[in-house]
Formats: sequence, C-alpha cells, structure tokens
Amino acid sequence: MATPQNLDILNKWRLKSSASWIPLQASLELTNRCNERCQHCYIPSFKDDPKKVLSLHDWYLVLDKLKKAGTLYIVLMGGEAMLSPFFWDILKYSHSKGFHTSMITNGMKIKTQETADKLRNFGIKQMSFSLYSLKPHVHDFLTRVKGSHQKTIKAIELCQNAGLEVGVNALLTNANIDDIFDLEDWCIEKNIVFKADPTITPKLDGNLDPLKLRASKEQLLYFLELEQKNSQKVNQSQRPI
Amino acid sequence: MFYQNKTYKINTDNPWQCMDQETIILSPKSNKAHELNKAGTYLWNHMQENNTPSLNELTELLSVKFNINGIEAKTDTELFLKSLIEQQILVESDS
Repeated sequence: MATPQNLDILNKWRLKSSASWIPLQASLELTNRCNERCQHCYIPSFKDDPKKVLSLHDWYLVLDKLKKAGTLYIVLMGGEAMLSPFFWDILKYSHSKGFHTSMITNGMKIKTQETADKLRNFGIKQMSFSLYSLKPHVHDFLTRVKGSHQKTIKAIELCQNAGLEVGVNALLTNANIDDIFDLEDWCIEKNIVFKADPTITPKLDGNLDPLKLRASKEQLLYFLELEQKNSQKVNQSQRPI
Repeated sequence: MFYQNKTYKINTDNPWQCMDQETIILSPKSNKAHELNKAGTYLWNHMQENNTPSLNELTELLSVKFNINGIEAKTDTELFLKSLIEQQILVESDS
C-alpha cells in the first residue's frame, strides 16, 4: 500500500479522516511479548500482564467496533505481533471483515517459506520489518539478540518470495546513523520501501535509558543534508528535460 | 465494451470510505488505493443504495445532477465503470 502514488492518496485521507474523527487506520498492539530486547524500545516489559491482556473475543469486538467506525486499514504490531497466541485468528478475522491488513514485525518467527505464504494466504498485504543496519553487529547490538540480523534478512527474503510488499523501518540512532544510507541503497535495489525515523522516546514507565541512543544534533544535521542532496538528485534525474 | 443489458455491482471485498463528497477505496488484491471525485462518489453512493444499476441509469443520474449533456455523461460514466472494473472494484453482470 505504501507506493509513492498510494502515499499521496493515503496522506491526504489521513488528514481528512482525523478532521472527521474517523479512524481510517488503526494500529493494534497485540502483545508486549518480544523475542528481541531492543535498547530503544518504549515498552518497559517484554511480557504481557495477565490482568490487562485482551482475550480473543475482546479482539474480535475491537475489530467489529473499528469496522463500524469506518476503519479501512489495520496494522498488527507488538511487542512482536506474531508472539500473540491469537495472532493468526486475529489476522484471519481482520481479513474476513474486509480490512486492508499489514503488520510491523522483526521477522524472527518467519523462518520458512510456508510461514510467509501463510501470511499472504491469511490476508496480509504489507510487511514492515524493523531492520537497523546492513551490518549484523550494529543491528544485533541494538536488538541485543545475536543472530537477529540474519533472521530478519532471511524473513524479508521469504516474504518477498511470497509476493508480499515489504518495507523497512529503520530507527535512526547514534549507533546506526553513519551507515543508514547503505541500508537505504540496499532497500532501493531490492524494491523495498525504506523509512528512517529519528524519534526515540522514553519507556512508557518513564525510564529514560532509550534516549542515550538518540543521534546527536550534528549527526542528524549531516543525515538531513545528505538526504536532501540525494532526493534532489532523484528529482533531477526524473525531469523530462 | 459496455452493453445496455449489463448491470454493475460493487465488489464488497474492497474496503471504502466516503468523506466530504470524495471516496477512498482500498484494493487489497492490487494493493492500491483509489480515489473518487465528487461525481464518482455520487455514482458510488447510488450503487450502494441501488445494488445493480445499469449504464443508462448511471448516465441519466450524472447528466441530471451535474447538468451535462447525455453524450458527455455517457462517456464519463463508461470511463468510470471501465476503470473500476479493471481494478476489480466493480463486477459486471447480465441484467
């Protein structure tokens, strides 16, 4: 869904829908459980609180209400969405209700072509992967899970083979900002939608540790200047005369 | 090619939303977002209410509502239907 033409339309409609109080898009955090331990994550615990967790029936009601409210587009996320015991049921129900369904994932649970194909068959259209660098040691440093880089790259490949539209969400930190353009080039080469975001917030319980990863002002300025130059180059090359 | 004895129905697989006399339609099969302008939305809303209108019916509606001559209205309606059928947003069937 995130092609340039679609983005123009969707951005316009995001503004229209927020003015009309219609939640055109909804992001569902299915679980806090996660198989990575990202240093920058805003979720304080990697476990679900049994007192707060929703049942499958609750999730069905949420989707029913969103349908009534006019929502078209659902994003499944977490923690790691695929670690929710209800992930496949919720995905199937979302698809059956006619929502356009996508997800944000680290891909660690997508180990076989069968799983990637199942995602497509259950109605997923777009996958956004959290990938922070092409350098395994940089990515693994941020996720604090050795080998996570290799698994995410493999999952991206499997999902592309399954015909899913794939995107990469790269958080900009002081650990990966120096080689972020290599990641962007790789994405362009692989026909992957690339998005870099410098926003790092404290954890939901007020813990400020994630902020230590914020890129410095100098790093961000350098990044923005380079990004602007790159985008000017693209614009010039697309001019008809 | 459009025939007088065809009717057109909305494919309910595609989520859509109308706001401010415009419509957005998501097409999960092609993974695309489509937008209808004011005239398109007028026809779309009619198709919501009257499940399977014909080309003539839609042409007449467009002509009256937007005060345009019949030939122009028919050309516009045909383009509208053709484009949405190609995107599998509408289904054509025999009346």
